[in-house]
Amino acid sequence: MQEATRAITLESLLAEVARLKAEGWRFVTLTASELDAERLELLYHFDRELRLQHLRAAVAKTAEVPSISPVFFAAALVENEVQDLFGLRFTGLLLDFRGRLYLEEESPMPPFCRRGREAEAPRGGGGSEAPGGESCATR
Amino acid sequence: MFELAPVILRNLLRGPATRRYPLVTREPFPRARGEIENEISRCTLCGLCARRCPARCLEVEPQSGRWRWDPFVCVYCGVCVETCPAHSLRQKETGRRPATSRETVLLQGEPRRRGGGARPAPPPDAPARERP
Amino acid sequence: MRHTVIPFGPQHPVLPEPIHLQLTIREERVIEARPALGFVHRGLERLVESRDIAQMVQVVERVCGICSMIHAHCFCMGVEALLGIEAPPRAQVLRVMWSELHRVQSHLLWLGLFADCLGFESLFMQFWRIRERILDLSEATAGNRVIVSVNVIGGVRRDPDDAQLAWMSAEIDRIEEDLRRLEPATLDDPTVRRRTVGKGVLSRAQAWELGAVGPTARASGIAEDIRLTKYAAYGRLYFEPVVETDGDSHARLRVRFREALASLDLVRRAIRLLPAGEVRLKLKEPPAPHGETVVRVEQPRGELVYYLKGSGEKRLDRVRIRTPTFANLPALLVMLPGVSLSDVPVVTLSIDPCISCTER
Repeated sequence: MQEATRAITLESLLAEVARLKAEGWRFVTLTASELDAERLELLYHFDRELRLQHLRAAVAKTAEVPSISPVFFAAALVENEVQDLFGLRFTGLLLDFRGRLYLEEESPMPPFCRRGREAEAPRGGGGSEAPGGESCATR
Repeated sequence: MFELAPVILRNLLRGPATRRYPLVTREPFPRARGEIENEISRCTLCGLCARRCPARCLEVEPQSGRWRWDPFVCVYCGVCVETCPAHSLRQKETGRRPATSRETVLLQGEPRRRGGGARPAPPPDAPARERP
Repeated sequence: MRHTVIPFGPQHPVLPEPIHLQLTIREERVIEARPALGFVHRGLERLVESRDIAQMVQVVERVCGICSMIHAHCFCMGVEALLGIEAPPRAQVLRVMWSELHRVQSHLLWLGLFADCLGFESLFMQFWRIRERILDLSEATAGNRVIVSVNVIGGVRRDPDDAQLAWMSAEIDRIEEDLRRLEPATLDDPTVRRRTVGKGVLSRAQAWELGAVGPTARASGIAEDIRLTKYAAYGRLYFEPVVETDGDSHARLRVRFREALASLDLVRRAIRLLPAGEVRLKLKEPPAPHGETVVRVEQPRGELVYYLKGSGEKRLDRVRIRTPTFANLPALLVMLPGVSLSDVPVVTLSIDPCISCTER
């Protein structure tokens, strides 16, 4: 996967994506994952003739990312999902649910960001080596 | 317009495709995934089944000797049966029967001593299983 | 002229899973469709925080009830790629065999639901009668009817013996005969044609631009099938993707019917190809993969993409699942304008929506 990945910046995102569309690449999906307490990593995946290409960008959680839905309408749905689950704001979305695609008002926000959650349980539960395991205590 | 007619005529001669359950039941297929049962006298309460369970439906307390299984949380994947080193867990071929209340299965075994004893040999009729 | 807004779903007789579409109608024709999702969102991707990799196989199986084996297959392929191991050849062919059986079962389910949505209930029951026999084959060889739970990291958990495989081969022949007998009623029936030909047309250019996948794209002339990347044992089983060019609901019906027949043939050939050997690699220690990878497989509804990222611990950092219905929903939103209100259920069902996959 590494050979087909290129790192880009937010400023060059729209230009890169427009170029890929002109070359005949199909938009597959967008993956967001958490890098640390302040940053997310966005990975855009494209496909042409069964080969994949990826664009990687690291963004701050508070950044406003330009939406690529004017170029690829299909991206509108997945960008809404990232908005809901990671709390990242996209500007210029053609179809904007404003954080209500999956979540309700009382949902914990943002659900998929681990660091920065209040009262976070330490990462070390089930699968520990002590006999009996944690499955006794936390069911 | 009568494209389905040959199929309909065949079905009239073949009889119904359904069986009158629960009056008529089907024999389960061999090694179909059904209820979990534990032979508590063989169980060493090591807790490996509870740690491997993806649904977290097992609770094992070695100090008190209690083994608890919740049949309503269990997904009947059979990973616990494959992992059990004492060969005390088995999976039946018939599933959990419908119930009117949510009950868990609680078995009382020998509280685990420090140091443990020799592991019992598998019973002669234990099915041959793939080891992880 | 005034518009009316009509809600379609989340509870609707034709929908197998809940999705809500807000349809703006003028004189019984749809002008705009706006989706609302989130009825079955379970946040399964977040379970990587509390389940280790062997347990995640069971979790991803339950993303979708109809295509569960293929989710587990993709996940195991991804972890095996990160660990640098490969499942034994017999396990690869068994995975293909069960995957194709799953594909037949899924297409038969959809064909039955589609016939029911048109009001053709007896055809619905015929398709599901055949489907029961496929589920019996699954239960006898893999242990369960739909959520078969046979994939593990490093191979499969069950190994059917020769007697079972011979019985399976004979049953597949009988099932294929029965399915072919239903072809005239499904594809040539004049009522079915009147309700599906020319409804919900998606042109080839639209399908490509909107990222449609699977039978929805293949019915519009795009000949893409992820099985052509030759993952698992598909490199040794030659097949051609089923492609139609009309782009309407009838074309999607034809593609899925013919794909079901093609998959039955693939199962038969996979059984003949099955090499001897073990079916499961013994892993020396619990898997702790490092790195990131993207794997794709062909689900009954289209291209399934998994992104896995691990950092050397026994729990993954991130699992991202992009399911085919998620990719086909924008195509649905473009297909619906211009369709008459009474055809909306038919067009919506023709993309084979699996909303529990979409929302995970």
